Amino acid sequence: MRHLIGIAGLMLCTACTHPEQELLEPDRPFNVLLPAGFPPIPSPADNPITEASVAMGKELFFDKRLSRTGTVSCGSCHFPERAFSDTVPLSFGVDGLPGMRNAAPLTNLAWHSGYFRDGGVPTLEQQVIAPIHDPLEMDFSITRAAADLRNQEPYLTLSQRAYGKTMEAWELSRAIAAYERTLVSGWSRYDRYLSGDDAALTPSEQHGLELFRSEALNCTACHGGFDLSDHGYHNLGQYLSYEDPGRERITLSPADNGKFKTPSLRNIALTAPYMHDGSVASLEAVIDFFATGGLPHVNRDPEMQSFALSPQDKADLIAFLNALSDERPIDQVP
Amino acid sequence: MVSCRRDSPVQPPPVDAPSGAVLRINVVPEWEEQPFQDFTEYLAPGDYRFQVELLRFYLSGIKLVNGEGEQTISTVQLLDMGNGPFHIDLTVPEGSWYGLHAGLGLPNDLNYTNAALYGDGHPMSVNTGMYWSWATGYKFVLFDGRYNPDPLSTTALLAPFSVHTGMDTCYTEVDLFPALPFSTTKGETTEVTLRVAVDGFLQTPEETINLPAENQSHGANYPLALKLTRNVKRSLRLE
Repeated sequence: MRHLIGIAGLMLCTACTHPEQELLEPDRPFNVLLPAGFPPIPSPADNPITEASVAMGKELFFDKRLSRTGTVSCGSCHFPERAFSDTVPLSFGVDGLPGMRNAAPLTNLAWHSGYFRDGGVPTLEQQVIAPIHDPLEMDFSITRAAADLRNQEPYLTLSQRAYGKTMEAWELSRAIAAYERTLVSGWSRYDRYLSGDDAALTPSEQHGLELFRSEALNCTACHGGFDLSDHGYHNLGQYLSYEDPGRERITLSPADNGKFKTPSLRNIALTAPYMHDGSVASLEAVIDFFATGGLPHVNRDPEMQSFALSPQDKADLIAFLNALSDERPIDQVP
Repeated sequence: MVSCRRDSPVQPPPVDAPSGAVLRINVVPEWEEQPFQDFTEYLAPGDYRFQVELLRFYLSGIKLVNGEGEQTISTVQLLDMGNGPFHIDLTVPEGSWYGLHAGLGLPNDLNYTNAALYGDGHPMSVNTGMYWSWATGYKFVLFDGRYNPDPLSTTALLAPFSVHTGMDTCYTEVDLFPALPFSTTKGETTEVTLRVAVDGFLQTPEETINLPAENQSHGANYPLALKLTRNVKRSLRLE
């Protein structure tokens, strides 16, 4: 009798194993190369960054079958060569309709505490859902996308390796989030300069850095730290009346009207046009705006102050900003 | 050993009649005490023509209540008024009960879970249309339709209204006590009726929603969202 029970137990054990699972290469941690001075990458315990999860996430990121029409992927509005931002003020979704806000660059997301320009979503995993379901973006269903793709390669194999099961919506969201956490920016000439390579920045760029750090311009009040952003929410006085309520949409507090998350200045030369609505076309125009100190909106941040720059100073500041572009690809996933 | 899958999508629990008691909640949407149907024209307060095209809301933390305390019988139910009367069967403990206590909407700990966790059949699946997505969290009441602000007009209803409540402050709790207590018995089905007075969503003795002036709320227009929440709460009756 004990032999029968033992055999039955063994049969049950083998029946629970996916046919290919015994042949699958074990998953391994994916080692994200970090620039000097960067803190460790935060990732949730239920979604470690592994070879299989990031490979699956990258496949999904560029898979247009996440959209209703099969024509729009995350990569359709977040171009790797543009620091994963777009080239237009407002990106176009499945029906050619423009979205609500400018597509933000997707670098160093692992260190953010809120996602989207208003910080409405607290985790990267939850952030994945919104663009898939947004009628102006992919206009689809994350559960439907998972159902459509789960039995196709490479998802069938990668999901088994990464999560021990076939892909459902949760695995889909976790894989994309894991991939997004590997998109690290910190390899610019400015970073080399900070590490002690005085020749990494030209004299003009170094002067631009001095201006950037100056009290007069006050840039570092919001654009400081390793990501050149405080990841906080500020009203710049871009408008006297905002069509887009910004963070007020999340908090319902009028004090947050017109506040948007401070973008990183990394790769800023690649991520035009600028502002939450993509309304400012060039860095020159951005600096001209900041030099005004912004319009007197009731929520305008007190750190916004006007300043004057000579043409040479402006050129040096822009030279410095251009030196914030990564010298190696942001995408580390093969 | 029993399950081959780890962390499968969350699905609603099955109703287990033979080993427990069953409470059948018959949900009956009504307009002025007559059967309510969506895409049907009614006269709204102010005598303008009006029709509902989408009406859904969450009841959460549904509990049976008696003098000894409360027993939770369902974590969350999504009530869709779009197809006329329907029923919800729940496995419940035996006992005598004053009625039900429930949340209208989702409490904080449910509201901010990852919607991707829930399978297609679950009330909190992303496919229900109740998930905000851009703000995480869920809509608590979805009340959409059209109206004609001219009470004398006979043309098509064109003006839309769309009131979606959500955000934590729209969560409220409601007692649903029928006139007489009821009992649940193992192996048997006890039926109660939850009447949803849809006309009350627009007007109760306490408050009126004037659609021509109050017709849009999607996380903003906080006063309108709260007014609808209060009216919905007043419009639920258990028999």
